[in-house]
Amino acid sequence: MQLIDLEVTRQYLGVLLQGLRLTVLLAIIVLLLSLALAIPVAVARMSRNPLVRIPIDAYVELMRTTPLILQLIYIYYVLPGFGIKLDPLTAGIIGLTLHYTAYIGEVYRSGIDAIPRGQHHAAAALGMTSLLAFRRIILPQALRIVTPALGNYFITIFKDTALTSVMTVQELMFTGEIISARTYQYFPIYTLILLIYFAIGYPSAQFVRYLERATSRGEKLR
Amino acid sequence: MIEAIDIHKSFGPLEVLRGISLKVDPSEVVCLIGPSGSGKSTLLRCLNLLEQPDKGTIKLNGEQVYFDWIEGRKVPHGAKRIARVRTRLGMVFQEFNLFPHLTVLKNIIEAPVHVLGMERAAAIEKAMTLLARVGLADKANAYPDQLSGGQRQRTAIARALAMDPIAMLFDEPTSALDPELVHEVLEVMRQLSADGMTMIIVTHEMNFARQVARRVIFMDEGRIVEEDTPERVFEHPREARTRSFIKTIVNR
Repeated sequence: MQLIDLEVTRQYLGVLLQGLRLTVLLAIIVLLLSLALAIPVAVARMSRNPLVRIPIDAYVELMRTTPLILQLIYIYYVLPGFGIKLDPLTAGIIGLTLHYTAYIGEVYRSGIDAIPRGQHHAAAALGMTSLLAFRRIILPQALRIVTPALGNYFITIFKDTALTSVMTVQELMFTGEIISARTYQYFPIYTLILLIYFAIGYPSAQFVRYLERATSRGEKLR
Repeated sequence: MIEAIDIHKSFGPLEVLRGISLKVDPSEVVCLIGPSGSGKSTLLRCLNLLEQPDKGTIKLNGEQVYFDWIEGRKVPHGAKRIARVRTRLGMVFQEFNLFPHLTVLKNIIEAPVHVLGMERAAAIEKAMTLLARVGLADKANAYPDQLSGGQRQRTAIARALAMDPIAMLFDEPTSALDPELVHEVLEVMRQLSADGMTMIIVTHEMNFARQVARRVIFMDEGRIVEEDTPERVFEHPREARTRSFIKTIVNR
């Protein structure tokens, strides 16, 4: 039993890379959606109005305390019972986005909290409304602070696209499962998949580390 | 021009302002002095509603601002209305509070463009004039973290002036500066007063207060203890508490 089989690689790499294309597409879509939707979530979490805060708190806690795989299974397999039937890719995007919007919202919240009160005071003293101050002064600074953490979430999202294989989304993991089941070449195929995930993930992690160093050393991200 | 009437303010059980009344006329320079905790900064922050008074009223040019008292209850004005009043008062903070993600120039034009709706080109021109006035014309594209403390504070002054305020509020503007940088900021403030700006300054710089202020107000424990010309307050204080405070300052 070889771990690396050049013949198997030659035969199936192309198909696997097609799965990878969907993996990357999925990761990018989910990341962009989550980055955008997490801003109102963060703002809602900081609201003093209980009508706003309690539902948002419930949503975030639900996402954080239940397994992602269960959330994905629920959306794809359980919701049809309530009349909501989604195709695998849509369900995968919705499930991952719902989950990570909650986490990224918390990241934004910590960034916003980290902004010194003096910034709010200065903005207010200049006659800015809270909304204007948030848009122009607070949020831009908060985003710069949390950029390394967001980079880490991209890597996490990228890995978790593999979970959508349980709902037959034809990304890398699912493609590998199908091929290895058909050819019985489990070891070489899965090793190949492992290497592909690593080949994308490792440079990404290095980039995130670069971001962390750049923002901590005082070379502020302008 | 600026009037505070019977201001009370407590932070929980701690009563910080116990009935302060204050009137400042146009082009007047008034210095607030006193020990820590006397309520000077809190009073200043009540004037642009960075702090909410528990009791009392504030008037700008005779008009009551920020809130009304209706049957004993405080009814605040709308947020936009309060923001508009704040545009008429410029504030300079002890910690500068410049926006670190913006250049000096962008710091200055930010509010004029986005709050007053000024044309960007006009705002830039005005900002460059102000920068020249505070001696920082060559720093327009620098970021705050590239400036010294004195340069940051001068930028902050230019930023406040860009809104064309009717009065400037200074909250210990030089307290966070290294001693050798204090002078350049006081110079700008001195020039500002000579140009006729109404200024209320919380400060520990007694020499500056002596030279520039028309009136000095000594506060202690939330009350105005003494209020007079600099010569009277510094040379011939009437109250014992004023006397002991002046003595500790002079002996430094």
